[in-house]
Amino acid sequence: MKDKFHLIKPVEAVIIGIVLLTAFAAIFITNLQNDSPQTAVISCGDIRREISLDKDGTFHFDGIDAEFEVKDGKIRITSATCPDKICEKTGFIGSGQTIICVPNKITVAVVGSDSSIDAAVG
Amino acid sequence: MRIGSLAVAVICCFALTGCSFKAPQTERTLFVMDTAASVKGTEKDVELAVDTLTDLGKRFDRYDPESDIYSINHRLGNAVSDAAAELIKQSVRLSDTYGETVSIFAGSITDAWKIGSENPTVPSEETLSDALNSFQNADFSLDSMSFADKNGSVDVGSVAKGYALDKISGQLTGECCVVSMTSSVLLYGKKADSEKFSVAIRDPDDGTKSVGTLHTEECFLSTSGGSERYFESNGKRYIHIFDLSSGTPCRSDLTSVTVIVGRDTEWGGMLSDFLSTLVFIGGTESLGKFMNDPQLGVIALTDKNTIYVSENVDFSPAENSGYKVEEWKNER
Repeated sequence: MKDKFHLIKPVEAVIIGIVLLTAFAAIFITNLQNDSPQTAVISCGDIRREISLDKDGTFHFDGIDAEFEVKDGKIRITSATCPDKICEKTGFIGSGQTIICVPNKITVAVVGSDSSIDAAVG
Repeated sequence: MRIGSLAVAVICCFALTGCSFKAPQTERTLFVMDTAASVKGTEKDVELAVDTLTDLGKRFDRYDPESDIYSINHRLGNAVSDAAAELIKQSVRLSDTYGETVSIFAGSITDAWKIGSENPTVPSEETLSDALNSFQNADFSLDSMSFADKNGSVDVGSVAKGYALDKISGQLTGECCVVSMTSSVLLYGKKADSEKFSVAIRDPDDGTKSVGTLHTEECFLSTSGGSERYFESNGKRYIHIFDLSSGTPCRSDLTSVTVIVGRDTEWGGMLSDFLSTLVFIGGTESLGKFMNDPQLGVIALTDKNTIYVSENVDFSPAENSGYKVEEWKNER
């Protein structure tokens, strides 16, 4: 009887297996998605807007002279009124990266839930 | 019951892998000194840093009629704040020590190219030679904090971020704080997991990519190159770092220079900001002296896709970045 106490019933073994598999799959998928979901913080003067990067689409905010596109967890500026268009040329950015539009004073920063990188320079 | 507890244990394991026991941290981003800044740290530290950045950004803005620098440049004669006076004195000391290829008195050249305005333009020969004359004849008095005549104009763009980080470094009280100003960063304190800080070095040809990661203890670091600041005219790219002998954008065989200075170094923020520009301008020809300076860490990228890393720097190159790391050899 004592031995039986330590035995796992087949049903239990299957359930434990499923739980473990799900957990590992979840860890794997999370790593694969690079800490998704992430948020882009857009600031322009005193205006501050946040958008989640888990939904694709194009966005515009009142008072900010630019349009934004979110795709595959990344964000870019699609059209800005500045003359040099450096912000548009920056293209899509992901975790820990920023887009800067100097003439319009717009910054876009992608903030990850947990990133191994503390800062980026250049 | 047994299944329940096991499931909980597994879920806990999973939760822990995604979480790293950090003290409560706040993050703020702001636009200051013509760049994006982000501050991560305790709420108190973040507030302090944001206040300092905002305040100094206003004082040093050469286009703001209420700023110290505007007053100096337009000969308004307003009293100059202690911060601006200190910034100017320390900049002059750095130029005296390391060379005049970086100078805060070259504002007339910035103006000739209309850098910082909505439409930067290539100046006419006449405009450029006037600007050069104004720079070369500038006679600034550190006692009165003013120019002796109409020549000369101050542009603190090469050192202002470093100065701000120096000031913030002295104000922080929390255990860990990261102040990033795109091209200059302060890494303060120790991370909760006692791991080193990790900093991605951006690819100068594509700001969304990194050429590798630097692992470091607390420090100041700055990067100079042509990637963030430039304008294009007739298909040609003009960077915002100038050769002060000709007044034209500097042609360097380096594409990005990062200079790392320990946080315990006095005026370390300014030193890294100033030297990253100076080393960039100097090119590989004058790299040796800085590569061998034990006080500095240097990561220099060349236009031949080589990365030179000084011995005291812990750098892991990114895979498939197109760059290759080479050991710096002194006999070059």
